[in-house]
Amino acid sequence: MNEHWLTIAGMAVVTYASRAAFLVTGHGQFPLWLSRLMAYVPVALFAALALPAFVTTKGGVRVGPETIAGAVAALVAWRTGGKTIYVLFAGIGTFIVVRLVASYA
Amino acid sequence: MESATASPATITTTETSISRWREGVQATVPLWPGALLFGIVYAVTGRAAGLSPAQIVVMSLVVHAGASQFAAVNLIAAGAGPVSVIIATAITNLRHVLMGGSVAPHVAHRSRGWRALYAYHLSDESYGLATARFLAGDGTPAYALGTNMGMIVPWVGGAIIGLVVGGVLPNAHRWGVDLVGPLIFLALLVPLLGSRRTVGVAVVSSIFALVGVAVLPGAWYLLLAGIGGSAVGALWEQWGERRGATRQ
Repeated sequence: MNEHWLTIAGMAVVTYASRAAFLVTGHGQFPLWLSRLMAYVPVALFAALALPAFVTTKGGVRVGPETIAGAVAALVAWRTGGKTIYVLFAGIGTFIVVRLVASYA
Repeated sequence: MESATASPATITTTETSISRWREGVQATVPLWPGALLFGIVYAVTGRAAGLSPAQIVVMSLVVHAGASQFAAVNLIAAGAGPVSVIIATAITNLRHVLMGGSVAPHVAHRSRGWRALYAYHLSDESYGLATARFLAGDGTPAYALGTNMGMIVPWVGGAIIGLVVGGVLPNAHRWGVDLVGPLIFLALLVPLLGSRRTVGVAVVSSIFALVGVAVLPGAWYLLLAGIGGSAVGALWEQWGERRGATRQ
């Protein structure tokens, strides 16, 4: 028995508590202000989960192959109504091509 | 024609649930390479930090939160004790409060036990896939549960592979493996941008995220952008209603 097991147990408890807070207690009904807020959570989180990968590196904001890939993928997402498989092929394909071209240029 | 015999309705419902569950699992497959590689890096870092193989695998099973686990093994390597690691985990994973709240109305009709199980493996990826389906009108709780469970495979599998093969890693960035997750979130986001207000929320949230990435540690930028972006949306909606009420 070492302290790492204690750490793991504590991490599991606090993580589950966050996930269960609204899911297990209550019945998915919130006061008006909160349900309004919750309605925008998907858009806010999807944007935050997507954007930084296309315009940042560890050093800060930068435009690179991933930026061009992101722009092409966004266009494909818009034209196809968000068909995941097309967006993936367009994004990864553009990234690999731009990287290759850039390395020979 | 023999299907017309015993309680076809029940059979059909169960079969639909199982096929929806399987569909949910399948929807996560494109995310497996990225999660697998992240799992390998986590396990290798965890070994270097002094955790046993059992502790590394058990943490992936019971915590099941990539960013906070990776942060935790780095903190442990730097000499942090249980209390500071647990506090860092709690803050990193506070965004799951938002995700749980936003998906809750869609699964409210399921039993408390089902919801307790569903909450267990909720992740950024499974939340995204399931919520996009719910908002498009063809989501089901079975599909949502499938997306949760689908992500267990590469995350725990990656940890086990990392323990076996150690630090031998391909250069995944070269092939854009780490762009798969963001690309999927982009694909889920674009169909939601149907009004000026949702576009505004996405722009504000992106700005919060970029500022957050620059000044905050770990995954805290997601919490900042999640709360900031959705608060702007809610205030905008309220303001619009008030203006509409005065005009009448």
